[in-house]
Amino acid sequence: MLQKVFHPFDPFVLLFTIGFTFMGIYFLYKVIRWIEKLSEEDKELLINNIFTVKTWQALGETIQESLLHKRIFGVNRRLGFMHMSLAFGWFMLILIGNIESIYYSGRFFKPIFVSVFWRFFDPGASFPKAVYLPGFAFWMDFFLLLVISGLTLAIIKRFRSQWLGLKRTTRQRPVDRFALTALWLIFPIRLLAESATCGVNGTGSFLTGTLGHLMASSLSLEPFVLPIWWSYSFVLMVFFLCLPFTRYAHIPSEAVLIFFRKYGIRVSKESPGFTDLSLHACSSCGVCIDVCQLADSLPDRRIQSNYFIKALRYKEPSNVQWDCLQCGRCEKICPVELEIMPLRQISRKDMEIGSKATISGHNGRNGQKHRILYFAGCMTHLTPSVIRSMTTIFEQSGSSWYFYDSDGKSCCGRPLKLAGQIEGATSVREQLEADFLASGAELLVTSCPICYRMFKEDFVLPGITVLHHTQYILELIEWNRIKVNPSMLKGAYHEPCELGRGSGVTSEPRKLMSKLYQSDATPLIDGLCCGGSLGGPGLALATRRAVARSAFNDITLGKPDVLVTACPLCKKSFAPVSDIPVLDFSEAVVRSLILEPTQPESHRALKSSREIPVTAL
Amino acid sequence: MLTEKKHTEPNQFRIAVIGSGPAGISAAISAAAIGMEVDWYDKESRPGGKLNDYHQLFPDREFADLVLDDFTGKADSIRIKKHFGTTITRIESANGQNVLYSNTEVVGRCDSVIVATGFDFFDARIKEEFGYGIYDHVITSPDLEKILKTGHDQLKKGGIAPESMAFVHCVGSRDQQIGINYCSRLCCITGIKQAIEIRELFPSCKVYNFYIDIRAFGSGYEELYRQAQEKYNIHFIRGRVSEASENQQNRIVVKAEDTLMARPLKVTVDWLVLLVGMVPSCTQVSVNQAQCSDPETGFYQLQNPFAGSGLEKPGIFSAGACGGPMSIPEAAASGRSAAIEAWQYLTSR
Repeated sequence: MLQKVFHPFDPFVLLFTIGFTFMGIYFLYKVIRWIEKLSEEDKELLINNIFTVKTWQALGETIQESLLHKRIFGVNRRLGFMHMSLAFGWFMLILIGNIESIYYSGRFFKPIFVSVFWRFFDPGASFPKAVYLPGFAFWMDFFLLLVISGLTLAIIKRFRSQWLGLKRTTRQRPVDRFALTALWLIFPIRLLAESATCGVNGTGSFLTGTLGHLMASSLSLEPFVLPIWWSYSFVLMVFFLCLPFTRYAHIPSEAVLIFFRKYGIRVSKESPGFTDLSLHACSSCGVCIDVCQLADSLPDRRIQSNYFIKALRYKEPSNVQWDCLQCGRCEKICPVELEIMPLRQISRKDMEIGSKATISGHNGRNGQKHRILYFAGCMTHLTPSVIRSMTTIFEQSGSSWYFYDSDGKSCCGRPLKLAGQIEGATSVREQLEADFLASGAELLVTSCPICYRMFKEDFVLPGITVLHHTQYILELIEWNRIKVNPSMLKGAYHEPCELGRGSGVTSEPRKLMSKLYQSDATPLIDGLCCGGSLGGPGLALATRRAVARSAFNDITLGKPDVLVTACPLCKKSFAPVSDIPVLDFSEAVVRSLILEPTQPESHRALKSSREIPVTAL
Repeated sequence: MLTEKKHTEPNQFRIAVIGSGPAGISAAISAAAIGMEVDWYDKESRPGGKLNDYHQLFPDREFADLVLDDFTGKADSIRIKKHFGTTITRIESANGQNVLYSNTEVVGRCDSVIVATGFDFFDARIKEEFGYGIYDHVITSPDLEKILKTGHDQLKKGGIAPESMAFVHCVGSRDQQIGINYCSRLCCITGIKQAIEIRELFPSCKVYNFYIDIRAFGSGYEELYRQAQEKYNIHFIRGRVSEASENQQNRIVVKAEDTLMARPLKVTVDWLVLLVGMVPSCTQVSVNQAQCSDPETGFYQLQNPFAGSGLEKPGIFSAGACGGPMSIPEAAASGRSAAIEAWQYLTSR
């Protein structure tokens, strides 16, 4: 027995070794390829940050996410437990197995298979039980039990996903199912193998010991021991051989992704290496399916992010990147925090007309300087009531303002960007940026959350504060530049995806609601997509209508008298499905405005001297 | 259908007609002419429905009032029991007997019902980009019809005749964006007729019609379309209007695309008229708590469109534009045919 401990080997370990070595080499190759295909800037980020504290932070995050799956816990506890028990349990089995093998063999460096199959080489018989319990054997059994409990949940999820709080589970490719079967078999076979060895030797803890004892008492175990260990090694080999080509590639990839992300690398079309890594890091957990509003209206189409990522990763012929409203709900909930929206956008880059965008960005101010620019946006031009209301608000507040796109000819570029026409978007942005800066403006107010997000995220406008009109109106009210009388009606606020989730403007519209309506029936749900999004050029209008209708029903559960939104597109999407008035904030404000008589010049001058200090915003 | 052994007297049957537009009037007159006992309902206190608000009718330009007088004269000369000012909201149908409700109140019982509740005009405020309800000088075709009827001076600004006017076809019709995919069929000819009227009233006024197709299907319609172009010099521009805005002089700036010339264009007009489509009436009745509407269009769904006008339950028939867009002659014919259908049903059951 001792001899075995010091020179542990049996031919069956070769199967595992082949699989594991293949996976290791292949994965190493992938990592090299990913780094190679990073842009020069990203490579620099990698080199500059690798020997900093960020590496340690990334290590901590890896433990939290790859092993404990903290974020999945936050989304769905049962699902979190399933992922945690499989990943953390297995990791602990490897770790404790390793420590045990080092402890008893006295060797630190030894082939990997030694610790993996340690129980075969050392059933524990040569050691006194008192030392052994509740030592390694107990903990090994404990974590094996944890893994098996997670496995049970995984099997339940496959067949009865609603028991795990998922309406739908992912539909898998054949090779994924094959690897899944291998994965499912690993732990029951391991349990059998360890129990058999323990049964023969009379060792083992509460799980393997008990089962081993039962097995040994009912049949002659000796001839079965080796074949079971062979099968264990075989399923391990199959799993490791499949791993790089299946969803299970996320196990090593996610850790690499966490490190790269910590170093500041982001999805961009210049860094295909990082894009490929992101695609590999998707665990296909499926939480993105239920949050997708299209899951109900298009149940037969596999358009949710995990299918989209699969289609990209395996280069399946598909136009799935067009069938998405880009509302961002999946990105927000994604436990791996994949940059799904940028992935969608760069996957759209092949559109033919993209290279020929000649849209002009600005309208020409005739060289005049203006302190406050109002940029309505093209969508707001389709809702003239918003422009009219904003005009009233500007006039009432006494601000001197300039209607930048009064002729409706300017484009912020975001529709181009969402359609994957990155170059067109950039050229439009550069023109507009230059003109904004030349205008001498300090404040840029827009009525459109789509423009707002573009100005905030993509534009570089030093010295210019960009505000959505909800923020601006709130400032005007708080600075007493306009006065409102709250309405007796019950209002509900629909949060536009580009404003709330997209740009993080969440509190101002809600504060404004409380100033405009005595009773607020705004639902507590995360901003839904109205169906009108510019992000989904591939979707049929009937589908968009279905999305609008179901979103409207969810938003108006509190039976409001009026629905208030902050985006012209949402207003237009809801108008045909709504039986209550749908207003933009500007209109709601004008309805509640305490109008002042036409202001004399002196008053106006006085008011203007009390302009809102932009820096105070 | 009629069996020998059963001898039936028409007056043993009681039939209800809901609605008093062209279809309802014709149905009531025809049912009474057959000899049935007719209960006639309308939500308004006088008959005629939307015909009351029209000025002249296409394509021959008869005055709507005269056409309506002709209808009501016939209805007055025959025995029909009128229950105007009563809104029927639902019908409970069981064992061949129908009970009519106005909300929760029972207002009548009968053997058969003809539903002729008509249509509503599309609410143009939903297409906000055209500015209806926002700009004073954007009106709809029924608005213009009322103006023409009550005095076209309302179209003048400060006593000056309008210089230009534009009509937008297919507002709330053939528009997937708002989920109305069907063609309302009659807005084209309405727009042509109204454009001609404007040219007659204000010969110096330029008139533009923005259309996607002209569907002049009825007898005399195509001729009127040709006249509009050749005799009245009305500009027909193929292309959808994208948006309308108001300039400093309160005139309407229309942005559109001329798809024949393949170029965008901008026209400034004094008035913009939206030719609104026909949508299901908001006062549709339910039968045994069920809405009998077609899921696609919202109009009543006919059980067998080839053989007649039967609705959800036997003995209940639809007539006129509550089953889909129809012209006045078509609606009147459909009312007469529903009366015959009802008579056949009652005598053969």
